Amino acid sequence: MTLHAVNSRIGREYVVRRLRAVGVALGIAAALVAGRGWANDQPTADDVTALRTQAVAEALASAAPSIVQIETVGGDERVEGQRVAVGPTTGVVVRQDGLIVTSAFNFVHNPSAILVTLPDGRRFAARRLASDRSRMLALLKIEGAEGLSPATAASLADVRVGQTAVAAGRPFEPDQLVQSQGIVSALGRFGGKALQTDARVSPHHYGGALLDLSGRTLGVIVPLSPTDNGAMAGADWYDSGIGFAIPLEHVYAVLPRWAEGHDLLPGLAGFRLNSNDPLAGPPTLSEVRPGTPARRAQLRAGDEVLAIDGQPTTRVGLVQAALARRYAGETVSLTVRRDGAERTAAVDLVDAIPAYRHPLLGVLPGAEALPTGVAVGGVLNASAAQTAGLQTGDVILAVDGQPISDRAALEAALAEHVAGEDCLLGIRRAGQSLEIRAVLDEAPAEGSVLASEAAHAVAADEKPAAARPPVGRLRTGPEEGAERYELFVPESFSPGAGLGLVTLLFDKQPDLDGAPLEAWRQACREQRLALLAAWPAEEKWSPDDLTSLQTTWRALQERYKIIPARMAVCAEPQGARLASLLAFGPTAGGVRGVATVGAALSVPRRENEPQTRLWLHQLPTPTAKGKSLSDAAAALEQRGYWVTTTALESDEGLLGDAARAALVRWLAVLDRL
Amino acid sequence: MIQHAFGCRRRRRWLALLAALCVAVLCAATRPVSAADDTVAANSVVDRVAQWQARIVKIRGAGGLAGLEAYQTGVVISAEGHIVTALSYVLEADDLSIVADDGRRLHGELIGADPQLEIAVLKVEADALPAFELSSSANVEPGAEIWVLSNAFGVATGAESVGAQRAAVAGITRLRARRGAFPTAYEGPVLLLDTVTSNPGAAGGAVVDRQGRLVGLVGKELRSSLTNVWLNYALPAREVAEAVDAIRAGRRRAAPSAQQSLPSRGHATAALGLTLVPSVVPLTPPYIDAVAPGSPAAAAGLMPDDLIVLVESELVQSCAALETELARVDAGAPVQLTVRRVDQLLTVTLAPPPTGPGGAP
Repeated sequence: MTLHAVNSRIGREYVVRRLRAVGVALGIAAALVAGRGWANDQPTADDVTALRTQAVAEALASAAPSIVQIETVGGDERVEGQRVAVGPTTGVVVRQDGLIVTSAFNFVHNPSAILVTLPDGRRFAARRLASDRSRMLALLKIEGAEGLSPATAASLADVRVGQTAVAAGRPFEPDQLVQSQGIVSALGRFGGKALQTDARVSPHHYGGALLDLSGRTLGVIVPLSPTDNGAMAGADWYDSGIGFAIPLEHVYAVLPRWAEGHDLLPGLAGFRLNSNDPLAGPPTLSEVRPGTPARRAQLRAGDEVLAIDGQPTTRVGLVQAALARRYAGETVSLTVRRDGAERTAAVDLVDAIPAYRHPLLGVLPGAEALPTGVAVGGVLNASAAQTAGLQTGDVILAVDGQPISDRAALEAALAEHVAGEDCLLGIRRAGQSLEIRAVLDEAPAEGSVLASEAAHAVAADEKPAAARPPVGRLRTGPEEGAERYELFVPESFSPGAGLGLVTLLFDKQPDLDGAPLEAWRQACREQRLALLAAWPAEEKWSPDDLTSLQTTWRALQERYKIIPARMAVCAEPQGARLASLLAFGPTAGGVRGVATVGAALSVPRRENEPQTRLWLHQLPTPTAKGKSLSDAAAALEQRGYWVTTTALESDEGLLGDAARAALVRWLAVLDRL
Repeated sequence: MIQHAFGCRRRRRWLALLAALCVAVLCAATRPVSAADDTVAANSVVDRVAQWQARIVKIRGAGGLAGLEAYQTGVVISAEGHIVTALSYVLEADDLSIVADDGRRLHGELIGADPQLEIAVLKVEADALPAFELSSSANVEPGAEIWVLSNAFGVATGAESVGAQRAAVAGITRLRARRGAFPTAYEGPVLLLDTVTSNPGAAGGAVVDRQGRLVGLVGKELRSSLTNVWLNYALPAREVAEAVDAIRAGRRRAAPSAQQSLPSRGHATAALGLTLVPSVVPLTPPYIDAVAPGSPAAAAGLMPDDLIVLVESELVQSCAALETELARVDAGAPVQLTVRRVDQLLTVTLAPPPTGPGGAP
């Protein structure tokens, strides 16, 4: 073995180690004395291999004291349908007072006890102090262990792709290190969270150390997957030559906070980008929802993200990566360009962005369309509006200083807020202008909200207009010759006042001349609603009915000036799925309220959006499975939708008195804001 | 801690600087490093791999259905045609076809097998076959570079040589593995490799060190009973050599003594005065539910809610494992238990329960 060989074949890192091993002075002296004689002395491959083997052995020996064995007692035998490993695993000592970091994978089976065995055989009970759900690590604490050796972190700045990396674990005996040799294959994986290595790693090494040739710890070995976030994600890539390690340097950086026992979670900013394609650029915020950190930092849709924490973000992928490695609780600085001007916003990242839920002001817009502004047709009891002193007859002219031209503008302005925030209303009351500050409420989850006054009642002095489309009981349908539905338009209909439309989906054709349906017609007269009664053409509802209903609606909306905020569908059990499709399906739109009697609504995957409002209402009957309805309600709630429930005491359909009464109460305030 | 690491780095930087200086001096004194250094790879091993490949045979036999491959690898261990390979269904063929490295197709006869190690010795009619010397003294250390020669996936046919892999010995440990739900018969030492050998057809391949010594035989595909993943391992030459010697001598090797002979009467929780929580799932943790007054457990100070984690020095991961481990300790002798109580491990010794006409305490 010669130093020449060392230099030319293995490189600086090894020279450093060798020099340290034999003593620097000795090394130089030897080199100087022996130097000339090496000119023609070719080192052999055996020399190189011997040196490499020795270097690896020394690296392992130097890191060995900080690598400990972990065992578990109890726990689940299967996780996500897979049998889990309960054999010993490995951890890395990171602080002298007994902190040990390991892969969270080692505890997916949720054991009752965790034991740590030091290389010298001493065993300790460990406590799970905290987890890192962003990097799939766990932090353990053992008490009373003297003489612990925390691992020395390799400085990432010095790590190069191609350098030797050795995975080390203690999967068998606590005093035996099992190794796997390879190289650093890539840096900055998963947005900078992980290193990649081609060393074969498996559950034998998860939680163990990936070492450099100096025995410094590059990282803690974990299974990770680019596509999956589950507890077992990435483990199926074991021994594939694609392994990952979380840089120990990063662990040390976050350790002071982590050691306090707070779980580390991925940090979320709460905006959407113009594209999901990492290569797309320039990255622009496409949506900044109310109630999110980005919103609180005054970011807006349309802002172009120029840099994050000073690092230029020219492409979507760079923004995704810069955020992927950040934890909740941290603050990132976003530099954005808006209207040609640059600004910097400090965004406090959070661990969860709940689905958007519309706040409730608690007013019913008046039926009359004004040239500008929205008249308050009614104020809901115990609402934000009532607390703030809004009155029926007030005209809302502005919200937060922005003029309100019509109902849609008011809806949009309120959708810029979440419950708990306040908004400033510009009001005209009896010819006077005033400003009212209202703190917006959550929409109540249980029961319907009663209006203080009937907002949609026909004014007594209203006279039917001369020219108007037909009223009363009519046959209608998607096209001429297919008049499958019965429409009822109140005789008092006047095109100027607008009209709501409720569609009743009966399981089978009802008695069109019977008293129950007549009672619905009477209620619709009072509530200024058109009524569309529909039932399946054949035995069951078919997908064609969806199109057929939507086509019919479009025609009616045009003919009778239907107010979109007063469009509702009420379904009997067989129509619940059709009603859900009308609410959430790919062609959904235009419906404000969806109610089901005796059946649960289907729960959509997509969450509530600020720009679409839906109010869902379920009426469980004694035979309907209460649990499926309440589960659906909970799931819909979680997705941000307004959901209310009215339990019926008997098994009835839409024609039942109690069902009708409950639905009419709901319809009366369907367009509440 | 971070400061400590940083300090270290600083020191290394300084060392690196010195090293660089030293290297500069060397380079000045010697001829410049050039491409000619690649001839350093006038590599003794690379020159010899072909010789090693020549000592490996491709075996074709029974199988070929239902995902059972009809091929595996064998290692020639005598010039007159002895071959060691894995004992498997592949050998259960009337016409066992052995294809030598030079493409010769030979008929293999099964001489004998060792069911413990699951290896077999075959014989072909040939002379002057290139062969490894199977020596029980060919030891290898963890970390050593080794070469694996096997016909994984049966890719080599005819006169094609089997494939070679370069790897290191990851560790040497006792085999704790299972095939399906059943533990393997062999529980002795194995070489763990840091490359993938758990592939169809690789079993029976050679593990060779840089000196060209046969240090191991690639084992059959097994899952680790500890981690549930496929193991990459080889049977050490010493074990293989002993088994092969016995087979060739027509000797039946004594079955290894049962790991630990069970005492006629072992300890049990009930006799020690321990009631555990009901064992409802396979890994129910052995929490103490109650301790009988006056019992050995009570005398040792064990308490409800203590979690028993060790019997003597054996980890017990479940209620069932606790009973098994207790049964291994003679009931006439004291037994040591370690419990976890509020994040502390306590080790206590329980006196043997009194035995009388009544038996139980």
